[in-house]
Amino acid sequence: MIPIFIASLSSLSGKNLICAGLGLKLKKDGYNIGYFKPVGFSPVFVNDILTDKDAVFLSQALEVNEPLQSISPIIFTEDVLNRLVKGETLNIRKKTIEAFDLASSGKDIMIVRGIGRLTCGTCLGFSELDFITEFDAKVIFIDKFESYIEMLDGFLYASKILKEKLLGVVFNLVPPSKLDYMKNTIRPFLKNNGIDTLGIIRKDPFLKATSIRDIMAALNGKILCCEEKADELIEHFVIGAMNLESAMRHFKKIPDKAVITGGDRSDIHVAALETSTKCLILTGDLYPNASILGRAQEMNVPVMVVSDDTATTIEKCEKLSDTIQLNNMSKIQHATEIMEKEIDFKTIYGKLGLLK
Amino acid sequence: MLEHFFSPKTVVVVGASREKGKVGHDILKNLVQYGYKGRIYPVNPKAEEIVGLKTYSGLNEIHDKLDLAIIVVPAHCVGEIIDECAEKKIDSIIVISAGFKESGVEGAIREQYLYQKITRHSMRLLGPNCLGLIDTQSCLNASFAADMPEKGNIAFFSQSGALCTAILDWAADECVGFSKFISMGNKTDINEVDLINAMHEDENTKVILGYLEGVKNGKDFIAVARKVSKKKPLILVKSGGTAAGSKAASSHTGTLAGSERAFDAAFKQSGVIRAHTIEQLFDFARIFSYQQLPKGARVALVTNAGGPGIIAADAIERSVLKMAELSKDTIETLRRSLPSMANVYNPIDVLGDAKSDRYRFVIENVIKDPNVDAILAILTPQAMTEIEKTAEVICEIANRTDKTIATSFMGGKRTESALKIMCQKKVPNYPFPERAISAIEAMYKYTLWQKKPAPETKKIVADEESVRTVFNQIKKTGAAYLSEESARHVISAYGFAIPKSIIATSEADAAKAAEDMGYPVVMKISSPDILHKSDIGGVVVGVKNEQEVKGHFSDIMRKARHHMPEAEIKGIMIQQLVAGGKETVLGVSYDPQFGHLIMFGLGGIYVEVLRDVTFRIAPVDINEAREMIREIRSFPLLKGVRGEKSVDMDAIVENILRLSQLVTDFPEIIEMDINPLVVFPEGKGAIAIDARIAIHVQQNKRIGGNAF
Repeated sequence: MIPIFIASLSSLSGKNLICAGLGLKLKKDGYNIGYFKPVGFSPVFVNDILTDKDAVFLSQALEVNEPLQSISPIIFTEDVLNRLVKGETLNIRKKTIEAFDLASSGKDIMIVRGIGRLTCGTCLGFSELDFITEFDAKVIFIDKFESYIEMLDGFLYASKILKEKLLGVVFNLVPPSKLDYMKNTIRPFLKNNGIDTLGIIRKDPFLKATSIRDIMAALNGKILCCEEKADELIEHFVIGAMNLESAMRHFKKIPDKAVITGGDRSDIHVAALETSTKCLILTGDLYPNASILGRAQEMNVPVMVVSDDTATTIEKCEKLSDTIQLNNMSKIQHATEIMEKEIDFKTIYGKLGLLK
Repeated sequence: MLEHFFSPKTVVVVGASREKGKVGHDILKNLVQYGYKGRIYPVNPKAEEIVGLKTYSGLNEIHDKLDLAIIVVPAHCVGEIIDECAEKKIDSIIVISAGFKESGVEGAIREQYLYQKITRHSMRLLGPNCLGLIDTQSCLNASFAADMPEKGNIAFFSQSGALCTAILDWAADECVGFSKFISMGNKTDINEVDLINAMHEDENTKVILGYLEGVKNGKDFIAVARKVSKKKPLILVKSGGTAAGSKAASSHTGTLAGSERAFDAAFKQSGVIRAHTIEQLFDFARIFSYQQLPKGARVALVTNAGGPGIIAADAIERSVLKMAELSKDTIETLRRSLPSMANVYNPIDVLGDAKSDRYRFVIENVIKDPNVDAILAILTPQAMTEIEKTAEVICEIANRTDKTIATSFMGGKRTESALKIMCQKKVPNYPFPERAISAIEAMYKYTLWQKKPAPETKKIVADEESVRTVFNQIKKTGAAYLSEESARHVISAYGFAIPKSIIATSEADAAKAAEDMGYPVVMKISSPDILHKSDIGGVVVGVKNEQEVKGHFSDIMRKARHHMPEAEIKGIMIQQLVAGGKETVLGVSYDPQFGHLIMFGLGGIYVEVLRDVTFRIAPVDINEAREMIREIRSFPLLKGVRGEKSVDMDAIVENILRLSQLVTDFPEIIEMDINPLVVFPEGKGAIAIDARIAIHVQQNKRIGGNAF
């Protein structure tokens, strides 16, 4: 059994993306895979068990049929922290090892998802680095493209510590304009420093998209028509507070958007329906005219009414898409397609000694 | 086409009602009452007889071939009836019932089903949610309107049913007769394009009128309007042109009212006569219906009052019409016979004591004058005025001349019976002279449109392939705007002249480039992420020497990095400084109903303030391009003032055509401007200094959704 540890330098960098992509690829190639998340940070109560949201989702996505307790043994809650600082012994190391043994039994490859830096978990007495050393895991680092210096520092430092355990690094969320620079300048630079670049994944608005259903939940909204489209994903939020002409000009440039506007702006509603819009979010608890709803139904665009004002609504929506995670099946599918294309599986397989 | 709607041999009314005041009753009553000659079949399972007609309990009980079905049942039952109609092979359906798209979600779903059924069975559908239609020729009143209009040669269609009822009521008083009268309702199937086509073929229709809030398909509309307006005047009111109006229209119909400038351009390009008010619609309708088209712009005014004559002269001066200059013969004839106080020059003042004979004498002579194309006879009710008799005289002359005659009998009570006479004898009267003049002007403009030569186009030789490559590249990155370099590449592939330019990535390169090009030069930051270069201090004009080039190079770089640290910077563009010429602007915007709109106007720094621009819908032909140039207020500036040479108009025309061709070849362009387009004196061409292009980023396959 080979454990592959997915680490990163910061949060929301694409770990789920690579876990899913890698896992599905390995599965496709006939390997029996498992999934493990040593420390869960997004507590969720499922079937009477306190577990981790990502663990639930990824174990479903990868069809790993193991009890959730053994997939994510430690759920970090405020309570855990309190007990920890009071000096209680939590036996985290032991619990983790036992759970991992259970989760990995009979598996060819275990995909282990870290939560942040290698130092994470030090206070729990069992850091990510400890885990990697304990199980002699191979590591793939992924990080979102932000500032060169921090990213390069992080990767080079990790390589120094992990040595041959580091399979390589993946750059995620790379703006299209930086792709050539990454390929032609950064990749050779890392290679000279003994690090393989396993993938350069461009920023894909679809992966940052939020489903209409999630928006509805976050805004406590009500969908007035086309509810069957609530799982569609929204990539952009646009405010419709301008005059009709500017709205038309603006709307045309932004595909697959949600338009946020007042319920009384029938001109903006129609402008949104005539351009590529996936959802119309009407603020201030103002219901639209019947004919607007009729048109929305005709164009197959859900209309949502929310009670917040426009400013608050956009604020909430933006926050929503900032913390977006890979937790939707259509995104997983899309992600897998991207991974197949962008990730150098040949190198990964080679380094792991896998045949195909 | 649509003949079963207008002259069916058999009509079935499904949902006919015994109860007076119900729509299902009124329609049947209207069919019977106004003398429709075909066979009428009321369907109502509960009644035996309605307004004297035997009633059937279902369509299958009727053993006759049915041409037209009028459906008045509740919305949720309409679908079922349509199926029965399909079984009976009825191909023309009017759905009067409301409760469709206009009523919300359920209604919209219902309407979708309705549309599917109609198309599946190749039926044609008028409505739903409409008043119905009237054809006076076949005495068919298939509506629930309270009246039947008089027979006439005006056809009218309306997107508002309620407006129809008001107009019918008004028309009854004004002796305005109609050939056809149609309420379109939700326009699920039959829309303005079908109706204009039908009216075009209808020999009883001389003038086509319409009230629109929007059009279903802009390109089809332009095509049909262009064809029809060459044969018959097409006069339209289009509402929803203001911010408040468009908001109201959107909530009324749930559709876009459409941009004012797009409609304005569409109407101009297709010969539609635009009325700005309903009053104007019928002002125009009457003159087109009653009178012959003027052959020219020269109007003679005949008045018994000085003031109104001056008012009319002012109105003529403000229009495209001209005050007729009477021939010497006419002037002499008038001088010899009229009282010496009378003014024998246009406006001809026949004086306050003029009786009908003096009007007759003057009008008969003026009509013979070859310098006169149209006459407006103005009358104020003075002590000695023979109001009715004068009306009779004018009508009599009007009926035997081929020149355009309109009257303006001003007043109220005292002119009432004279107005009746003119009404009956089909001489258009207007309560005030200004309205008469604007009606004559509409006719004259229409004459010009009819005389317009066939569109002349020019094929632009362009490197389409290289533009496609650029666009495909951009689409991959998902960006909406092209970088300046790409935009320059695109326009030069379509033959626009552009200034020489080189991108430099170091001080030394910049200095060399400037040296090669020759000082002075322009320096601009080159970055696809920086759209408003001058806002961040990214443009320096008139750089004179090497030292300045090097200094500005680092300075511009620093500013760009400071203001936009994330921007990708390709270097600094060293560009040839273009001196002289006049700045104009070319632009493109995209209208969802009509497609690309081409803009031309005065350019430079005041363009935002002066907004001296004009629009046409692409593709633009040579004549339209010329019209665009002439139309802007600053046209005299382009022609040259105080001995200046005119700018190279042909170069502007050429560039407008290039732009039109570009957007026609590449529909993905959603916004574009070339600002400034510097135009040099005649024969020296024009050069596009800066271009900005935004394209529609195509959606990936995984996402459905609307077209943009």
